[in-house]
Amino acid sequence: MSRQTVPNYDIGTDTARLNLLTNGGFENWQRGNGPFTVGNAYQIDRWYVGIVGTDTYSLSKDTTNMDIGSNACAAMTFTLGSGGGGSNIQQVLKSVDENLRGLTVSLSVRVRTATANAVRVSLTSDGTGATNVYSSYHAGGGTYQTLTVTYAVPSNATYVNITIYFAASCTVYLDNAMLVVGSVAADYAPLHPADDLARCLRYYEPLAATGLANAYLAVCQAGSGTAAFGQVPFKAVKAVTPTITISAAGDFQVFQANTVIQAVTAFGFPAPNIYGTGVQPSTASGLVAGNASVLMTANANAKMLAEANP
Amino acid sequence: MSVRPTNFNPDGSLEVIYDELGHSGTIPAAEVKWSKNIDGTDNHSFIVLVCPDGCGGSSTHPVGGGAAPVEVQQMFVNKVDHDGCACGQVAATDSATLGESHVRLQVNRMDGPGRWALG
Repeated sequence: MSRQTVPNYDIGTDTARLNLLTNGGFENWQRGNGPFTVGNAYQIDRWYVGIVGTDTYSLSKDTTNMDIGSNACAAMTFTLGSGGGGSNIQQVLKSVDENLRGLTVSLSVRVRTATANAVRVSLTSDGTGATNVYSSYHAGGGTYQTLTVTYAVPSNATYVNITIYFAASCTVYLDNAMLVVGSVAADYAPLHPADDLARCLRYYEPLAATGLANAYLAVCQAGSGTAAFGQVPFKAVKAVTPTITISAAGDFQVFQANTVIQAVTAFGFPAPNIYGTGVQPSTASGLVAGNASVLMTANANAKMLAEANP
Repeated sequence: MSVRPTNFNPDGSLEVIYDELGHSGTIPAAEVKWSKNIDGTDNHSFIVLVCPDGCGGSSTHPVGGGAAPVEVQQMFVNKVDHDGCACGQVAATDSATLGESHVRLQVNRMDGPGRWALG
């Protein structure tokens, strides 16, 4: 049998290829399952909802209407106001994080809606000769269709923007987005869930066990009678230095060396970096300088989050 | 999902939103505070925003931008312009361009060239 070289433009869309997107399957919803209605914010892992003018939306995780080979999709009810087709869900790949300069890339997204001419996808970037290329609109009919677009990324681009635009009021289901190198779009190839989540954790990571009281967070050492110091390492190295967000300090507690529990009254985060963050819980009293202590959640409302958006 | 600025007012106060709980409000300039080092000194690389709703939630933002690069970097530029920098290298009376240059240098040191998101 002779060996053959198959160029990219000749391969089939069903040839499994590397997906350059994070959470392309809309499987990971670490911020919650919705419904989300606030515009101009990250809602689904790595997907940013950009709302223009008086447009409104409601976005939720949906485990009923997903595409084949998927456990969940994004379900959106979109209401067009003055946005003029500019409202969108997008994922931006920054060159400093994921460099696609000089490459030709192809995007495919599975879209289901009963409204014709309401949804299309796009690729764009900055850089010399940058343009905005669009797919055709979904034809309506209430079935999943694959929208595709191909784009040559300029050699000096600092970002590539993957966008799903909404131009008319509709209910739409989004699933199985795939960005690949080459001029032929690829059918969605799911990642192992561990790999899928690991990609998401690079950008957003809950540090405290969500919804659990008395969950251990970090071993600390008391520096005084009212303050302790410890470290919370991240499960995934972050793309950039993250923002650390916590719920109320009272949602946390410190377990003293003598097993007495002290409520946390204030928090400090000395010098977070891409690998982890220092934690500095303060209490009203009860700690002993030099003694060990354990930082824990005090109730199910406790949240400690690291978010790094390139 | 952080307590993050959305608009900047001339008096140095911030309009913020806390995505997580849907809270929003105004944080006065005096409450836009540097984070503290372990020794209690101010750290010019981090700013802490407490949710104005009173829920107790707060975010510690890095100068690189963290969760919201454009808004957070602008917050640092405005903070240095309004108050001077915690490190003492820039005074409130210095030109705005000096403060912005200082913040940009901090951004580059923290997250590398290419992270600067302001024009």
